[in-house]
Amino acid sequence: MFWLFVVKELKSIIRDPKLLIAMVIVPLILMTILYFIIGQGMIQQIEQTIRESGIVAVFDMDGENYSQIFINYLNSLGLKTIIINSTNVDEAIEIFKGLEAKILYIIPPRFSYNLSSLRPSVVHVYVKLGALTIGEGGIVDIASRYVSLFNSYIIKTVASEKGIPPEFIGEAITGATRGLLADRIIDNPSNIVFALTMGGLFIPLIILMLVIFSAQLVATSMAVEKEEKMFETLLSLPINRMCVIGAKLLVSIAIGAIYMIGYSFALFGLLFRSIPGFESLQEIPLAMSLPSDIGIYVLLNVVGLAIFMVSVALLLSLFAEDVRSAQAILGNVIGPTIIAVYLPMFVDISSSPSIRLALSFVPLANTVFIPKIAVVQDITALAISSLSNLVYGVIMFMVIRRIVNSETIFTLKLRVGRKKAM
Amino acid sequence: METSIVIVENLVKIYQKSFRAVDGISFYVKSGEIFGLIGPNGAGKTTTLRIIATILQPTSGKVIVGGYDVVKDADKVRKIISYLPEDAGGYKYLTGFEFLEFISKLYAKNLHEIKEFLSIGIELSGLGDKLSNKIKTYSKGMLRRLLIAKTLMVKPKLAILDEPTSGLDVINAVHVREAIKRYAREVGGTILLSSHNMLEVEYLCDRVAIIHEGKILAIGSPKQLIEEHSVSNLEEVFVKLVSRGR
Repeated sequence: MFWLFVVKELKSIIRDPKLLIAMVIVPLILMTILYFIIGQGMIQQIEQTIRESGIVAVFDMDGENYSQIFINYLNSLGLKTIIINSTNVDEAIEIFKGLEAKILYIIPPRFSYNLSSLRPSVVHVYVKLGALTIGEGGIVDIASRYVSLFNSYIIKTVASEKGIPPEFIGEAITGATRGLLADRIIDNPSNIVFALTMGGLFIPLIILMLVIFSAQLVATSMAVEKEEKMFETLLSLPINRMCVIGAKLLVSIAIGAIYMIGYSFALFGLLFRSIPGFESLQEIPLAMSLPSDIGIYVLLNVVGLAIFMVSVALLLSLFAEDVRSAQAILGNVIGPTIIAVYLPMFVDISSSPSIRLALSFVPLANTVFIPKIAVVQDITALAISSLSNLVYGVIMFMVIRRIVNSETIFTLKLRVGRKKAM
Repeated sequence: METSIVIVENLVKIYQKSFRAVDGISFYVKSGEIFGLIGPNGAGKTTTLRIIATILQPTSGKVIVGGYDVVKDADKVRKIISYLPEDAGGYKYLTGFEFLEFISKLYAKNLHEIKEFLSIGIELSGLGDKLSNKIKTYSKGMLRRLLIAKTLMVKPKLAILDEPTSGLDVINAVHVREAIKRYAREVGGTILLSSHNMLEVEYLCDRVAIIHEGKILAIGSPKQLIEEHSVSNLEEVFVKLVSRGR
């Protein structure tokens, strides 16, 4: 019986232009809107980056002339420098955490001596990470760039002092950049930030694809039953009503998942071809930063999300009398859905655990947020994120079951819409 | 009463806490008969049929179909009935044949039964080659014939037909009436139908209940009711009963 309805649903979807419109055109319009929103978000974050990277902290362990030249050089770039007075690196990092600055330069001992002896020196760079946004990815790049700019400058200066060609010196200073993320020090932060920010941008898109697409499909297919005047007949057929609902959910989620996978391949294929350095993501030691069972958390979260969102769509579609009104009702929940998806983009994960906890209860937002929660290893928030959607999904499913097995499924529209003749 | 397939006792249905669509009606339908609920629009016919078809639930009273309570044993009731709503449609993007096949598979216990149901359905619809066309291309009459066929072909213990010929032209209405008569004669199933066309009911039904404003005014065979009220047809019976009530 169940599979009979699954086959019927598939036939209807393949042959019905209304469902094809729901499948292709509506998600495309939504994606266009999303790209616009993302674009605006990126512009804001880049502006924020420029503002935040204007203040840098310096812990000078050398205290000689070349370290002062470095500090003066930073000032000459228009940066405000805060000098940290400390006895050791660990203490300097602790002081830095409390400062407004996002970048800390540690000038090592014998910095000036090495430069004057034409020996290379390493400036240790620490970048505070919080939101793991594109903006922060930019700060990591900017922090390294200031070092390489100074390298070019000092090579010319030293060469001029020594009366030798600059090419003779080669590399004078290199920067070793690390990230400070919630009391943890992360090597190679630019790659991790890049991976997480790319994930933060495109994983929501892909998940939205699954959710919006499946929701559209299930709501439309439910509304089609009413529009084609099969609903009343359907309720009197010798089949468990939840089988009919189950068949619609299965077909919608399955097609949504296929669509999502296809979209992911297309999107990431494009990214791999068009963004230089994207291939190097394979080398990211991301696994070292994430709990080993992150996959299970994500899987539970996404499965729960799909059940929850599609159940919401199904429930809403019960109010609709035809496909058009189903689309209209569903349209009202798309806005909050998009907000929920992109909310974590603007939230600092190194902020209070209560904010992380609150976000882990918000469906969709927690799906997007889960990799970042995993990075800070907030196990409580991780567990809530992975289970809350499932709980919501089960509750919604029970509500639907209650409605479906009573006359409410038939009379619901009567209360919401116009009165029907007896 | 012993051979009754439907027993309705003191059935009441109240909408929105005040409107009594069905107001304490009682009747029974004997196995093998064609029973008609007749009355004007808004009399409570559709609500009564929807309760018997397990779509709505009674506010009070009892409805038994084939020995099962329509509220407590709704799943069992649905297995022995086949219902045709007044404003029914079909899946537009299936062909007529695919639609009949889909319904057959829902009711049949085996492949042999599917073939048997399909054979009856094809014959009852009288649509011939047009069954291979998509339902969206069908006229209202063709669709109604297909739906009558899908309702009766599965040989239910009780077929419920709400206004089976409503809105049809004469040719299609005659075809539908003939299909119902033929089915009752050949298969011997029980049919409960509603209509506001009293002449049609007079032609089709073994017994009728005249319903008005949620109450049953009279029950009996058309012939018996006509004789009792000394009139020439059921329409006149209805007018006489309603005017007496006023």
